[in-house]
Amino acid sequence: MSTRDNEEKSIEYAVRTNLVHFQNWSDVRICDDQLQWRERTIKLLSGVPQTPLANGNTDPDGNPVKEYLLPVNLAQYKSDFISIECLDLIFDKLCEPDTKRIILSIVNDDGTIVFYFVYKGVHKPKK
Amino acid sequence: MSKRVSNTVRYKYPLPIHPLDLPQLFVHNPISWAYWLYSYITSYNALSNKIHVDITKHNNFIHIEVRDLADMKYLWDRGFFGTGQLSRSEPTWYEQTRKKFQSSSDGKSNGMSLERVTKLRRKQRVEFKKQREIVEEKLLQLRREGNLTPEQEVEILEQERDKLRKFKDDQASLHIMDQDEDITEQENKRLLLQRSEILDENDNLLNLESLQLMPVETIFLSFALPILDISPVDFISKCCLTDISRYSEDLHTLLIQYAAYHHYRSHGWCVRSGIKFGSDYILYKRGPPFQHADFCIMVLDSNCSKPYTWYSTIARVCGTANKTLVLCYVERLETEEQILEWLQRGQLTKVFNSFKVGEVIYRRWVAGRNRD
Repeated sequence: MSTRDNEEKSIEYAVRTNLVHFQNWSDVRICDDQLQWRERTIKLLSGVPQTPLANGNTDPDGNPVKEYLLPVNLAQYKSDFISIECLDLIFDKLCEPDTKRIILSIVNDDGTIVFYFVYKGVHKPKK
Repeated sequence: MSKRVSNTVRYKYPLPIHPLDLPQLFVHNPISWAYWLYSYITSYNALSNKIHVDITKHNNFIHIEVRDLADMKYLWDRGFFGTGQLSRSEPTWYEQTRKKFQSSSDGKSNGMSLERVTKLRRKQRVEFKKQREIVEEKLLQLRREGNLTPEQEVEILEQERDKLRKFKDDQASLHIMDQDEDITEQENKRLLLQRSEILDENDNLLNLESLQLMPVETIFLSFALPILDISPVDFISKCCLTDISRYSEDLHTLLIQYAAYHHYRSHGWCVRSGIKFGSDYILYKRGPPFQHADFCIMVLDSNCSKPYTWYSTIARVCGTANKTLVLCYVERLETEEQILEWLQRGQLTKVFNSFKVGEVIYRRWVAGRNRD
């Protein structure tokens, strides 16, 4: 398999395509920073949603701001891959300081991607 | 404009098999006999070509994709197999994008796609919530000032509620939110990038979306109803990380998942992934366009036991979504060695016959409410 093919099959790429062409996000990037966790390489994505997400921050004009996404596949998720320790590392090493939350993007074996917020610490619930 | 095809016509076949359409036979009319025979001999109820699937593996994560537009439609229309990666479930991305980027000349199209309807409703809800917030803010302000008698408060509350109700009705009747808002610079940039990735040099729309099949669907469509161009045994060994000389955990999971999938498919249910409800499968009586799914299925090994909170958590999620949770226990009746031997000889019928399925419905019960 060529590198390009390899890249296009990665879950990061699957989430990217979903955000750009289905959820209509802008400035979607696969971040350069990465970290090793239990023999796996973790990479985040960043992007700006079309409308502000629930409980999300906005700029002074009320526009949505950058969100971070953590792509995982469902099989990984089942085997206790994401632990508190791992999430702490992600917030510390891969996000800008003051990032309050990341979006867990779970890629299923049927091609569906489901998204969940993961907050750092306690957060006021949505109305 | 395309003519709307009714769902009953479009989804006439519940599975990708068709009975022969034979003409009526009149016993006393020999010409009718001849015509019937002719039709019988010439009709053909198998697919002329098997459907091609691309199977790729990346970091132990398997992708099974159908890329041909006609094949994608065929599999969706006959049994709702697969999921469009860039759609909610039915692969509609190509059509939608074509409408969005290539038909701006004909102005308003009346073919309103499901995703657009949902978007419109969401927008209305957001607008409504904003209004509600304003009202609540106002009330809070009045209460803080503290010079409200309880009667006055009730009166104001009633007035504001009426206003809100009226706002909601107006929204629904006038579709006030359905106007195209002015496109901002940011939005323009996004559209340009999107467009650059989906058009080739000659401005033809590329199809970025494929129909992705779950591993169990792939086994079903190559073993139970062989219409894919792959061998189910090869596929099973590809799916599990090791070859099929060892009875691995992955192999066992795949086999019991398939046993459950096949069980429900063969009882006439439309089975789809339950990821959105935290379960393995959801069951539709007929299919997603007809009604909501009624059941969430959790596939478990027959001697599996989980802590109580595990069951109650899932049952609560399913209950909130108005679905019944079914725990589907699958028991293996043969030894691991026997299963492996059959697998290696390609005798899949024997393999899957050695699994038994038993079900338990798990439902929350409230003494005060569930008395009928």
